[in-house]
Amino acid sequence: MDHGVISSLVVETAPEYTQAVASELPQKPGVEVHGIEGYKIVITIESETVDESHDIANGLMDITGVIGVNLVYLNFEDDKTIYPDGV
Amino acid sequence: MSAGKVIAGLAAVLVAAEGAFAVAANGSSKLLRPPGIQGEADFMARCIKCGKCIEACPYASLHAAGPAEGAAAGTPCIDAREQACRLCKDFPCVAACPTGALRDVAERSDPKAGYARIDEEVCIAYQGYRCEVCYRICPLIDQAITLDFQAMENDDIHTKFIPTINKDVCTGCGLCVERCAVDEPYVPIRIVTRAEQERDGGR
Amino acid sequence: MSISRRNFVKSAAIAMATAAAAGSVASMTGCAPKVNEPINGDSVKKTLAVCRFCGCGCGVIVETLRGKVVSVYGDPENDSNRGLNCVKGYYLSKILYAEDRLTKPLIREDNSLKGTDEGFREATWTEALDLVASKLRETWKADKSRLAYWGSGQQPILEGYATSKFWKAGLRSNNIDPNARLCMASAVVGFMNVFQTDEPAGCYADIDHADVFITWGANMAEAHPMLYSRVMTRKISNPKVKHYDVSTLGTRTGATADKVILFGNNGDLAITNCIANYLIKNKTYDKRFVEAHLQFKKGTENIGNADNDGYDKSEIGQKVDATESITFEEYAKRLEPYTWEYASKISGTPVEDIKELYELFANPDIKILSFWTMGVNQHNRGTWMNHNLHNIHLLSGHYCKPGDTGFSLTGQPSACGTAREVGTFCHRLPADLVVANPQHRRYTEAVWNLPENYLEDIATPGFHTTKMFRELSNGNIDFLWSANNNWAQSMSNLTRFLGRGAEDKRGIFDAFIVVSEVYPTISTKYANVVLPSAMWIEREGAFGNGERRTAVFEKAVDPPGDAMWDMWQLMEVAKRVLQDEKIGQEDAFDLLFGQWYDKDAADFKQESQREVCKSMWEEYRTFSNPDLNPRAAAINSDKDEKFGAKLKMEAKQLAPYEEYIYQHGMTWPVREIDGKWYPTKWRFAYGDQKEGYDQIGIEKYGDKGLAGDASFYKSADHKPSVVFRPWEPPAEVPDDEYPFVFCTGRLLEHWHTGTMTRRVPALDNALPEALLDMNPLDMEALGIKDGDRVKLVSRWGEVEITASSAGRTQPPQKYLFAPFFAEETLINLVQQEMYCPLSKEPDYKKTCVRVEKLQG
Repeated sequence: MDHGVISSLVVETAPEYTQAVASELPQKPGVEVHGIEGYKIVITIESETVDESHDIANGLMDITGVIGVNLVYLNFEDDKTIYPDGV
Repeated sequence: MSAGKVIAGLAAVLVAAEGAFAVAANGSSKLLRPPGIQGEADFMARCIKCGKCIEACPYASLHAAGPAEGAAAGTPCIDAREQACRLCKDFPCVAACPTGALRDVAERSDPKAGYARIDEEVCIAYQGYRCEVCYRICPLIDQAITLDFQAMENDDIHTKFIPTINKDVCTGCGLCVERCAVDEPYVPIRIVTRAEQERDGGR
Repeated sequence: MSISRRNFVKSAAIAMATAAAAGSVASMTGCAPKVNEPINGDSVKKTLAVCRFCGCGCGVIVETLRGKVVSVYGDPENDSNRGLNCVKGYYLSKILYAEDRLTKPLIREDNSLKGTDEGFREATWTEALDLVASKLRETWKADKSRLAYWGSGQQPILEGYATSKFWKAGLRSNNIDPNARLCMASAVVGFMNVFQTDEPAGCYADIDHADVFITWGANMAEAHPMLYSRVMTRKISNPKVKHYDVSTLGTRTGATADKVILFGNNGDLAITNCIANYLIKNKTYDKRFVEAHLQFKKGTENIGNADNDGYDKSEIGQKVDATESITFEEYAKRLEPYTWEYASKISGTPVEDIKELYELFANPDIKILSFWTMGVNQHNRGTWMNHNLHNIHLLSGHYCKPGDTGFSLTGQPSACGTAREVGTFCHRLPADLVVANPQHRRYTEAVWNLPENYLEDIATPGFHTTKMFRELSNGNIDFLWSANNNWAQSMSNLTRFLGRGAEDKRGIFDAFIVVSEVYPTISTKYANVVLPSAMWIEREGAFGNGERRTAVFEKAVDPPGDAMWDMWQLMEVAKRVLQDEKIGQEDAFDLLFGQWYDKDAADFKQESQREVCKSMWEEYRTFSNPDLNPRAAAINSDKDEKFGAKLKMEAKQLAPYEEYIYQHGMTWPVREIDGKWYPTKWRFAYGDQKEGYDQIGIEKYGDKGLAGDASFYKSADHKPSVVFRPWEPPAEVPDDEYPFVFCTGRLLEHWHTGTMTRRVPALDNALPEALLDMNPLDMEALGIKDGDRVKLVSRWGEVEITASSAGRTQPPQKYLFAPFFAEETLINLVQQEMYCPLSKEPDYKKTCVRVEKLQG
């Protein structure tokens, strides 16, 4: 994707599920895994809009072993629903 | 776009961020900020870590705070010794800030990112050497840093040229720190940042 | 979002999330003091030295451990600085140890790469010396007008002495000149014309007595840091002491002065003549002093400028030195046009400011100490301006009394000691002697033990510096050797001299160029052979500073790799070039250098460099101690009345070598009383020798009891010459095409072309870039912002530079300043090559340029 919203998040997992979650996460749309810190997994989500990003993030809660999803950063300058004419 | 939408979008981000960083939001950082900071708490509340100020800086003085900074990670900061703020006349970093985390500067003398403090034990000017690099490089020379001429003890032919910081005028740009000619045992001039001032009651 | 921004945002996002995941809120680290390593029982050796940089000549103590310098600090027992230094001096130890020290001789294999660092191969000393000597000998045998040596006011005294002896007596060539030509030549000619002796009468201790300081074209706060500290001491301990800064632009010196008096258009000449005019008109000059001490002259006027290579030999060029006696009344008459209004009109300086300066000189009850340096010397009428400053001090009687005198500041550590005292100039011999004077040649022959008349061959001066480089560019120099300088950065009009201009000025690429150096410089890029030298305290040497102070620096450490003492390089080249040459019946090399050098052993005869220097000093010292050599003594006293004049060589008497170490430097003349040696601080001022007055000199040659207790016994008829020197315009006057006046100079952190100080990280960091200082109004008018790149364009060339309104100087509108330390910003590409027709010193302060904003 060469445009759209970028967000980064920390996915907290139950320690015994960390590896399993990490391997499942890339299956989700726009999600990339960038690292694992103990039981926390660093990911980015790329999507068209903030709302879409939010939906994807919410969906991560459904993965077995995920105990929390924390948004760290959200860049929405390319979100056409917020900035129709760009920034 | 409407201003209302932007603010709403930001608010959403901030709420989310706050949730993630309840621990780190209490100002444990003491980073040196770009021009236009109006206080560390105010800055942290508004900064969305978008990186626009960092990109706008023509001198590459700004960088995103590193992982060690906790909640402040990703916020713009300055390593003065590495590359200080040049106090651009048009403040491109402030102009680029979408949220007003950096704001309200018009003149080069307006920023208040902190003030310089000299360690008299290590500064060679206090020993009588002619140096005063910090004074001569100061963008507000003779205002933010002045020279105080003091007689040398036990020496009737030399004067100490003592660089003296005017805390109220100093912008905290850090150029004096960048250029200081002494680094052993450590650099004897540093910026007391807004965060430190606030934490230490303005001292 | 662009791809690059997207990448940035994404990586920032990841970094933040990673940080958050790590969850650490670590404190800032990295400022812990570093503990010095223990010394493990090895003892630290202390040696005596002098700072390598400016003309202040601050003494330092060097500490070495296991053959490496570990610290350098101010020498508390050196009277010039008493233990303090500037930030350059603070970092002296680091100049030795940059990674790119030259440690092997280099021979250029590919001449097509001249002007770059490429095309060299490493060589042995034998190969390099054989090549250098064969080229020099070949040129010498073919046409000795085509060889040249360019020396330095940074060359230690005895290295200069030996080089001069080789060039003048060995090769019998006068094509030797130092970079001091670019620095002190106008002061020298001024001193010689006025006093017939080349020296400042005062000393640094004058500062402690002055009531008023006037800096004329002198940015002392930056260029003479420790002396300026002394000025400030005088000011803060005596609130009545005032400082006037007379300049063409605002500097850090002006910033601390009580009053800044700005002028333009060579207005300094008009202002000084105006002061002289009213001193006489208002009868406020010192009548007793004038009657007792002064004679009056006028000189050749309307001398134009050296705008062509044949200027010196032109009709006017040959007459520039001529003077004739006039009466005091005629002198006064010549001054009359210099009214307040006229001086103000010429200079742009308000009448009130000129009057204020005049009032100082008209006041006999205050002590006025004038300092001047490059703004006066690097001036197309530099010699004249030196005259005019002496004139107003002499007329008003403010001369050669403690705290009340004129003082010409030197730029380099040994401008006085080497270039001037030893005479590494194209027209000079050691100790103020000149090649054109037969008595001087006879005297030199006596000291050097040469057959009488052997030096007849060098009666005509050789090429002065600008002429040397002009002829190099013209293809008329086949061999050039330089040491202790960086001509490819410091010369004016580099566009021409580096062969980047006219097709017929590219001789630099054809000449065989030898550069003795310690680091790669722009000059080494143009070399055919680079000889790696020992620097500073890697050999023993001595410097002579701005107050006539001779000070020795001891060898503290060995040079790195194959780097060798310049003195050894010289001996090795000389022995090859002079092979099988005879002077009279004797082997030429052995006659000149055989006391010190064993050519078969390829080494010095003495055990140590100390002993070599001591022995060579004894010969050099004979110049100022004629009684050590009967043949010289007879010429000095004109025993046979052949010359009709005494030389008075003892007037600059020097002490035995070791005295300079015991006493941590002494100001000459140095006098022996009851087996003890005493320096002279105040020349031509009568008083107790032990207190620093010129008692012995005056008792031997002068007169006691004259006005001001002064006696100018070195001057013709014991009377200095007040020569009328009019205002004449700068070599270039601003016009529509070149509307700015561009001035260059030195700043505190860096020494000259920066080859040493820029290799000290702390100093490079402190002042990393050469900026063009501009007036904010000029910047606004040209749409230039701070940090914008601009192009400076002159009639001579162009250079790109970054503009700044917040630079070190504050130029008035239509004035510009940039320092010359940065080799990536070669400002001398735009510098004019006009020189003062008398001193041949180029004007580095007033090239007319325009400023073009560069896009992007």
